[in-house]
Amino acid sequence: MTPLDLRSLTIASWREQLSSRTVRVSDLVRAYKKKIARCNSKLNAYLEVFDNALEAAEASDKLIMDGKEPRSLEGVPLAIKDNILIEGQICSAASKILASYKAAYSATVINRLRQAGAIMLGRTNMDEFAMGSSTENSAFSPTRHPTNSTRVPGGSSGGTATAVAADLCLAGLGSDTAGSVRQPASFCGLVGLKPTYGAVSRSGLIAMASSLDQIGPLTKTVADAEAIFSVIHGRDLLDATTIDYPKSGMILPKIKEIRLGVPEGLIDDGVSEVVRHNFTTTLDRWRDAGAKVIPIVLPRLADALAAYYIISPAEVSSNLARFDGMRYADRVAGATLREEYEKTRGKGFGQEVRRRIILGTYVLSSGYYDAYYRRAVATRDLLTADFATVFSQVDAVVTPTAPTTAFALGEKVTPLQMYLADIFTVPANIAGLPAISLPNGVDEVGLPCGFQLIAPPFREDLLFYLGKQHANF
Amino acid sequence: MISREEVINLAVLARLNLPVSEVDKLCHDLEAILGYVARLKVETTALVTVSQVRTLADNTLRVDNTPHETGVYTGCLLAMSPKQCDDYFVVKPIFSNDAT
Repeated sequence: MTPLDLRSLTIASWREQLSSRTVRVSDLVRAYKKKIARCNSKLNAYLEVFDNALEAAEASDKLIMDGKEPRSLEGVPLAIKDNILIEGQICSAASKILASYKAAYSATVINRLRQAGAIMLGRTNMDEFAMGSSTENSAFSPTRHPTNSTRVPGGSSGGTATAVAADLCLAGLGSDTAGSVRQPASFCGLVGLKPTYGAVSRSGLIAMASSLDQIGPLTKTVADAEAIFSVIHGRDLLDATTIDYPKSGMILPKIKEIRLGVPEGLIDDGVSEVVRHNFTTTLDRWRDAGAKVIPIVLPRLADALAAYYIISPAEVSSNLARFDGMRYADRVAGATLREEYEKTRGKGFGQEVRRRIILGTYVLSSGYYDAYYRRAVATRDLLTADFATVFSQVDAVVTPTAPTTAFALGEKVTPLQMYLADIFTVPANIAGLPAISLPNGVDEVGLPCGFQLIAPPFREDLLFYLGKQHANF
Repeated sequence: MISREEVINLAVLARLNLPVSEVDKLCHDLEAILGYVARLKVETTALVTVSQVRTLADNTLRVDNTPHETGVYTGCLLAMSPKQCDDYFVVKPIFSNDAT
């Protein structure tokens, strides 16, 4: 058997080795488990490593020994964010209120990944109910950055990002409501995809903001993200917002025909010098390759974050009403039913979750609905229309993924400071568009930057194509 | 300005016990967040017309049929609840709620 080099291993290279019968799935799973045992106490990427992962690996080995052709993700060990249900396993959303909750069924994405041969290695840490940009809001302690323990890995899918970047799995799944896949991908030097709204089923994803949530992969390469997306996307009767994924039928343009749109004024304020420098250097490389880099006007782009902080808390306050201690969670005793609700929710939810529930309740209150929620929904619709106009002029919109590299644990002291970490990623969620974060160099201390591409709806193929070109620069 | 009373009332509406020590901080945080989101200036005409724009996130309802065999999940769902009896969740009397 060939010795396994976890650092250089990708889904594509694993598949080659598996096809040549020079590796065993069970050896790979053992190697990851050994590394997790060594590193996880420092990184806190995993909340739990599943005992049955090795059984699944042995089943894959048997299938291959029996002469069967490996499936597309055969034996690929994946880290799964702790808000995606896996039947029989605890799924806590990193919240005390669901600390002992075991899933009654598996998410559609999990079923599809298993059918493709993938192995669920464990569940990963996150900001509680996906509310945060640093993974500091977990009820089970923060996750650390894979290369610098004083820094955050980003969030809310920070556990998965650290697990992939520290070679504690081959790839992983996160969920992206405002940038929760792409921003940690940027901080950890990975590829992170937020699919088009409706491309991937949300059945079995613990809902945060239902009109914005999408599940997406975090991987080492663009080809790996494509391999996972090709398995998990498509219509699902259990999520009525999914559609039959359209075949684009469009010929991918040559690089010399590519038009990249850069929103005017976007990186003038609040963006670190190194992020700005790496971004403009990459634009120069695209120009050198023959692409056209075109300034575009998206006047409402900067309003997307404000709209998000109305729409998202409004949906949070509704979605999280179900967690009241009656059906899912540990219950705190009270004299009346109302008191039990209040005590259970007060004790079970963390500070950021409580803040967003209160904010959501406020913006939906009588007298404030028109001033806030209706205005935010209007902004969303106008921004969506603006993007549609822009995509008649350019093939993709490009921005940095995040305004800074990974910040220090405890650095963001006010909620608003933390929210601004999503300034570049949130427009794609608000407009329902697919977007990908690609590694884009490092800062002076070696922390990664990200380059974001946003495409028209259901043009993930274009993102993968451009992403592979970007990797060659 | 958001008052302490408003925050306490919102917590009641949200059925959420708030630590007393958190109320002042929440007043301050909400003030800052609402100050930021107040930047949204949408013309009244736009508010009327945008509802006609169909977006990817428009609400879609699942077909009202039976997605799985009745009762197939009953056992495991009940097992996850804090208190159950036979095939029911056990909760306190609902009408006593009004007395508080």
